[in-house]
Amino acid sequence: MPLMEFVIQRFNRETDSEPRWERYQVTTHLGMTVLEALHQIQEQQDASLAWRYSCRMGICGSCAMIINGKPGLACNTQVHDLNAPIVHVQPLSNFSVVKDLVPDLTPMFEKHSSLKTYLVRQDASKTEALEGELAQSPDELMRYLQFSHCTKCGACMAACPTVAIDSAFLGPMPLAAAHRYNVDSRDEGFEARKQKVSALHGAFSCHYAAECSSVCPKGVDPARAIQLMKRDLILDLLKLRQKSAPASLAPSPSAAKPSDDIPQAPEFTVKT
Amino acid sequence: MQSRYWFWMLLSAPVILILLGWHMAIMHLEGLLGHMVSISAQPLAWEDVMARGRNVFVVTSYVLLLGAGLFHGFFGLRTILMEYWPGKAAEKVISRSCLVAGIILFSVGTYTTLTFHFFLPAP
Repeated sequence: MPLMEFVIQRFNRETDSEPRWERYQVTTHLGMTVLEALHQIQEQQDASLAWRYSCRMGICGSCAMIINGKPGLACNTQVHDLNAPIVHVQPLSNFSVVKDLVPDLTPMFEKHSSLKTYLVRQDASKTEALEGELAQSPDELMRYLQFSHCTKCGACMAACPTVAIDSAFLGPMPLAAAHRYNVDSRDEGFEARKQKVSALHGAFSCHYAAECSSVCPKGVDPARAIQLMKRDLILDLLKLRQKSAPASLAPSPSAAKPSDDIPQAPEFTVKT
Repeated sequence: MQSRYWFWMLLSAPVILILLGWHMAIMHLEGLLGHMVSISAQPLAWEDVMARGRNVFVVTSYVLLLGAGLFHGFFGLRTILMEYWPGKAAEKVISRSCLVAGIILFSVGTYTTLTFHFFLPAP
């Protein structure tokens, strides 16, 4: 059971004027994650240590933090994979800190919601009434699928050099989310988002350092999304952007006629 | 509006690449390119400078290169400055300063180029 040293940035904005580093010895085991190590420190050494987490399995994105200088998920990072005797843990950069490893993600989510990152439809009243499903082909799905894997963890925002300089820059997560809906065949919100994403501190402020894509724990490529968005904005300016009618309602499964070569389902074994 | 500026900046890049490459080839690579194409061996000689200044194509390309270079450069400078100083007031000051500086430099450069073409006597 090798001992590893964890050096963790501590800060309480209600009592501290600036952050400080604290050292902890952690007994590690094969497969142990940084999240487990933080739990061990909290349980055995310092109950005041604060961080954010939820699912423990790389789905929710709550436990994003800087681990040995690189943004990542604590639950998704095994301590032995770091190949370092000392593990430095800090809160996500480019955000203010609430306490210890808990960043204040409010500015990111404000930018995200300002871009109308949801399906925008002209016939919203009809589609919201759930009269049916919006039809979409597999090819249309593939246009946005990888961008929909984003968990909004904020790792990309912490890695972005432009966000570090320009606090007004929308950032990789909100822009990638906007692109995800722009290219969704069910959406009609391009015009509604265009004003904001093409303005100052929008998509054109991205320098394509691509750090966002290299640190994303879900393999999303926000840098690519932003470059594709720039292309769409320029094509739209030149009136060359392909526009197609938004997806219409698909017939409900009950209205569809099953194919003849599909066998009937067996009878229920339990009768009610 | 940024889409429009960005489009012009993209367009100015190949213009700079081609015209600056051509300018560099004529002015600095005569030793190398002179063996392949007909380029003056003394590009800075008075007669050669005057001959280029009287050529409508050369003068047009110089003005075009000047405009493209200034737009590309000042747009990039504006972008960098606005990252360091975001905000509406700073945006106005930076944009207008870049615009005024660009217009002044373009005017001076164009005047100089056209002087060769229209006002100086033939050698």
